[in-house]
Amino acid sequence: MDIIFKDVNYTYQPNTPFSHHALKTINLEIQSGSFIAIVGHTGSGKSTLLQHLNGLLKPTSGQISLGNTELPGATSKQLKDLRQQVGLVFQNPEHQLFEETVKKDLLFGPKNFGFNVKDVEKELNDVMEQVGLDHTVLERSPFELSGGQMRRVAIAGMLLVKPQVLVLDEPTAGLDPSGQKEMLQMFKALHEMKQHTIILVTHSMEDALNYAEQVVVMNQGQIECVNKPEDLMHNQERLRRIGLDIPEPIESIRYMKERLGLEWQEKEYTEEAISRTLIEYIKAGATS
Amino acid sequence: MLIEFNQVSFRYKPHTTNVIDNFNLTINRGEWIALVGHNGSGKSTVAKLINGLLMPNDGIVTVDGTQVSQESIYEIRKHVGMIFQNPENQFVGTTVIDDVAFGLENLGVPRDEMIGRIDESLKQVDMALYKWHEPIKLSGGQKQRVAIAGVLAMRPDVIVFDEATSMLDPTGKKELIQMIRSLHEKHHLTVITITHDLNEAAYADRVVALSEGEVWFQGAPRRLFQYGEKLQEVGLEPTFVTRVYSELQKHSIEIKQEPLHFKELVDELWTSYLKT
Repeated sequence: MDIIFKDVNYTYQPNTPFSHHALKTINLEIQSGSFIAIVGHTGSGKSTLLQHLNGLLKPTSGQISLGNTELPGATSKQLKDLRQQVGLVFQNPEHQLFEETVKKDLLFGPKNFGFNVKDVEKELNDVMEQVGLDHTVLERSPFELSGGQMRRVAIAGMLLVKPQVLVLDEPTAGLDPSGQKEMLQMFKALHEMKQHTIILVTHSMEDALNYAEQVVVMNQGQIECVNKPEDLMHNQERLRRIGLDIPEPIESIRYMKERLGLEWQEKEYTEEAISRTLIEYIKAGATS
Repeated sequence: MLIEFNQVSFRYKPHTTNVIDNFNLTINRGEWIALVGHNGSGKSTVAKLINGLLMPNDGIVTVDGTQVSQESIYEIRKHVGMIFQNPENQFVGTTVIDDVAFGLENLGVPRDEMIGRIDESLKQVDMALYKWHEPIKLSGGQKQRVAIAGVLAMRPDVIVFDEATSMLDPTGKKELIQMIRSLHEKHHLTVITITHDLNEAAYADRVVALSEGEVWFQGAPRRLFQYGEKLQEVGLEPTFVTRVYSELQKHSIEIKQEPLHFKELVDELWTSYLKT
């Protein structure tokens, strides 16, 4: 399902003293099956944009098409279908667990969308494996699990509803480094194997650089720029100005150029390329 | 010596394995200790044992010579301040000044002295201009600074930061680390930071790495970084500079000590190899 934002504006509490213009003339196309990252400072409008993706918020003006559904204007039947097709994982999704056992919690969503419970139960083991959970946790209370496990349960619950689009709001916040890596690898695998569209909202420019095909940078309710990860390099000053973190490899290359006067000839801005460049430069310098 | 763990074990339920097992640690006055480890390694348990939020099953924890016990916790908590992960969960006042005053009111500090202490602690965290603001309207980093002011006003000997930066955006994170550094340097505050970010641990005087409830490593951050990829065995991620430097070492490129930051690596490379 392609997602197209056309001149979308959103104002919280319009016509009141608290009115806040959170999205300003957003134009954006997200193609079916792509992996995009949305980055921006706190308050840049990322979360507001995200809540439009399954109709939790409707544009104050402008139009959004999500496959065959138009916002505003969708019928409540269309909205229900949309919410099945677009899975939203909020920050700290573990706060949304509530059932007595993991299994009951996992079945809650599919039941609500009218899935046949018997069929869903057959898929439980597969989904548990996809998110890296042991099936023995099924009969346990979700509240006995660690933070990372709870988050996996919440994500498994979303996958069982079979969405085409996965919208993830800071899915790795608060996890330890290996947990963060595993979580992102999991979404990457889902993207590659099942052609899910992935929309990842993150503070981490590094994650955006490593995983996304397109990076959407937001600032003060507007889209500042849409870049391929490798082009972010040329937008450093702009990113710095709007208070975004420069990914460490990019900052490092800048310092290498400045301090050592070397020229950057690699295509990619990776750790391997940095090590390679330093080694070659020093070996050449040491012999000359 | 300010804090001492002597043969401490702790388990959350009877007949389960110990989260902390025969744990020994000494923290000196004025030191900055970083406690690092993967989720579930026991690092937050250690923090909670310091101020009596948890009590050991075996062994003794002492703070400034007093054993942590049900009888002493109120006294202990005057010495040990804590800052938690989520700033949203620690506010009680409707204005910043009310919030900072809360702890002092509980202690029964006289009004004149209270006003002085509030102003001083807000100044220390650079939030004096926000006295009359509503805490909920502040950014994540500002909220954490107000929470720190509330703790500073109590004049503690030590502040424990339990993953205090992990929910902040990159700018908020940097500001908070800067703040902790200045409190440590200018006011000689004893600091314990609990984190799984080794970039953050690099600023500490000493790092204690926990794994499965036991001390896996203890020493200067540079020495920890020397473990390189082995850090992953205990769920820690080597930092960017450590990964690049291990690659250089494979090609026999060495500098005089393990670098903590990328700039340091590049500067040292220049001095060792390229300066003519």
